[in-house]
Amino acid sequence: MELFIQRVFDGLQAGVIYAILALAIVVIFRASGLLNFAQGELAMFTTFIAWAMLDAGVPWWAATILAAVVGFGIGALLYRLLIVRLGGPTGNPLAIVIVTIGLFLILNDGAGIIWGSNPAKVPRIFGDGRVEFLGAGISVQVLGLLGVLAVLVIGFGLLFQRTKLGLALRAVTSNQESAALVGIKVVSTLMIGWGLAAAIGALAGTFTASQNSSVDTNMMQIALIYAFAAATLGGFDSPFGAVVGGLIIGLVSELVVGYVDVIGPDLRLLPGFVLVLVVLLVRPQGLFGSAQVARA
Amino acid sequence: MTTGHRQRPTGSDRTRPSARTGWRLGAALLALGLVAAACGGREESGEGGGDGSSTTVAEAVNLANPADCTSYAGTTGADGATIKIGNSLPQSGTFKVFDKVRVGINAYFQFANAGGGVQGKQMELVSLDDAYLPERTRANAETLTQSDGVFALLGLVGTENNKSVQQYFAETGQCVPNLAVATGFPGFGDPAKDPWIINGLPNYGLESVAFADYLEKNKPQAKVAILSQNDSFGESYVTAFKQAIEGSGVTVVAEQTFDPRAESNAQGQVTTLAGSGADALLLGVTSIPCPTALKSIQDSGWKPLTYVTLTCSSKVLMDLAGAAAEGTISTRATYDPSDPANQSQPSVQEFRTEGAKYGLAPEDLDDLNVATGWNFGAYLVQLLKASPELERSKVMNTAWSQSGVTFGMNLDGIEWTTNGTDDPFGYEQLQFVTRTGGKWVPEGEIIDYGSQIAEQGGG
Repeated sequence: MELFIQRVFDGLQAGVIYAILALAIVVIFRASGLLNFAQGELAMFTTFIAWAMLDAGVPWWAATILAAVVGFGIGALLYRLLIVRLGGPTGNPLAIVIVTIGLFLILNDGAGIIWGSNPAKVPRIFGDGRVEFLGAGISVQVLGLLGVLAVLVIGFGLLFQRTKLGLALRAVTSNQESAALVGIKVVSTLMIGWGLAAAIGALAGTFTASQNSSVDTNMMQIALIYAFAAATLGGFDSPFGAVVGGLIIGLVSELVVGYVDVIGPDLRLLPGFVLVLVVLLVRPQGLFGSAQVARA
Repeated sequence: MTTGHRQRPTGSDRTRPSARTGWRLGAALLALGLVAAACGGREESGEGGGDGSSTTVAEAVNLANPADCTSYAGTTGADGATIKIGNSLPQSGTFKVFDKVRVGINAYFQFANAGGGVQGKQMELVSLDDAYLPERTRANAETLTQSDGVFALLGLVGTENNKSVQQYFAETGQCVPNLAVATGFPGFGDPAKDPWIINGLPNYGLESVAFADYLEKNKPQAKVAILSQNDSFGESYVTAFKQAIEGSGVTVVAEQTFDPRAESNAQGQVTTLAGSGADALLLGVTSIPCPTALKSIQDSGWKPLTYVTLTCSSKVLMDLAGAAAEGTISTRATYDPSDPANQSQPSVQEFRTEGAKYGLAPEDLDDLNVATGWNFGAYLVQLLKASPELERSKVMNTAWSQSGVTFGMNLDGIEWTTNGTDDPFGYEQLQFVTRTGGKWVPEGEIIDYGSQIAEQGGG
């Protein structure tokens, strides 16, 4: 029983990172109808910025928040200077997806050039403490992250459903032309969307670094794969779905690998993706996504 | 003086795909396609040894025989005013930390050249980038031998990379010394099969033998858990360890592998191992996953007697682990120049003063990979000086019959000894160290595992 509970905690620990990164992916998708393959590397890059601030004497929690702010700026500028020139979502979406893959490489090598490729040490934002529960232990760090995740998902749910900005973001995704006609500033709105996504990504990055106690240029690559799976599972247009998807993928991976001997660590990626495949066969829009409805 | 190296990008410079790049792109696309599979890429790092105070006894070892080669030129690369040495390692991409090995070799060559070189000839290094891709290492070996005409190869990084070079030489019938390869893969210590390649790092199996020996002495009924990388690096440790505990009271009670390419940490494996009731742990993991695993162990509340690999014991990785590394044990064959406790050692002082003179930046002086390169340089220079002449098979046969050699920053008391097929591994002694108060503290005497490791060869 202790072992089972411990595995659940392990699953949550992994899942919370996937969830946050999936949230960033979903926010961009909701705002601009695009997938950003550079999301993970953007997160890594801003995490290095946080680390640079830490190195300069800024407390880690403050550096995390500042990195999210800087991330917002980078995301917004990226959209304004690069993506919008490719025509935004009305241009060739494939071209933009390829550009984000290019960004992936540029950010990865860029971080290596600026900060070196040796890993750098970072502290844990919520400390090294540990809480015992039914004979198993969960770190205070993971509990803290779950709290942050809850705040994020509620915040973004409210943003999209209850605010004018959220309405504008949804309107722009739905139909840019109509949105512009009713007076929505399309480019500024999308800049905010990309900025928000990068800010969330920065949190995913700093939390990953915090969990591993180190930051290195490749730290977000595996998480990105899981995050895409999480977003697919939850539904690409549902922030809540992304979070649930992230936690489910984390739990399923951990439990299946832990209890099914045939699926050892070598096949760790498999269970989560099989689950995604099964869910998609039954519900193509994902668990919480809205079905595509085309006008006849 | 024609010192130094040329650093040259190979082939189509613009594309620069790294091992990880290909994987990343593939992975990103697979994420869409919902299926992902792990793939290649191996990781090695570590320490070597380096300066030429040799007491070589060249016994009649005749393993490297030109008659076995369809294409043989014994003095190419060493018949002019310089001795040209080739090298290939990742200068770009994910594994470019290992490019520091080149920096170390180069500094040592310049240091040696300032002291008159070898037999009046200057050492020259030609180093090419392989981005850790075995097929590019193979192409580099072709360029180095066919176009650059190097005399020998030195310090090539990576097990798979060296295997691809080995295969290239076998296919083309060439016999070119591949010296001090930067991997401890036991398969390269098999001169009966291939006398033209020799390890430059302690055999990974040697560490396992040492840990088994340590347990038998200090914890004879130890129940051991093993966490290892699922590649030839991890396998080398596991195989040798199981072999070494045969017939003793030490048992392996749980095993887990870790895929550094598909997992960001080994939390799940640690949970499983902690639940096994093991009281000792062999951590056959390197690079960043190693300190991360130590963190997970700390989080789990499990307190096994943990052995970390020599390649994980570097300052950079141990600093990442911080308090989580306290009480772990490891082994040493060389001094770590970044360790304050080693600053008074003459060989470390030589590295720091002479290295700085010949191009090493302050951060290089604390870098274990630079130190490893320096040691490789020192190894080669003493070997060439010990060889009866600058001829490939003679150098190789000398390499297989060195006795009690000291060079570079090898620990005082460590003697590099080889004796053909009977004893193919230069390092056979290790010093146990315990992580205490954020430092490695030597424990007991340097132990000679020569007889035990002899049984481990061939991998």
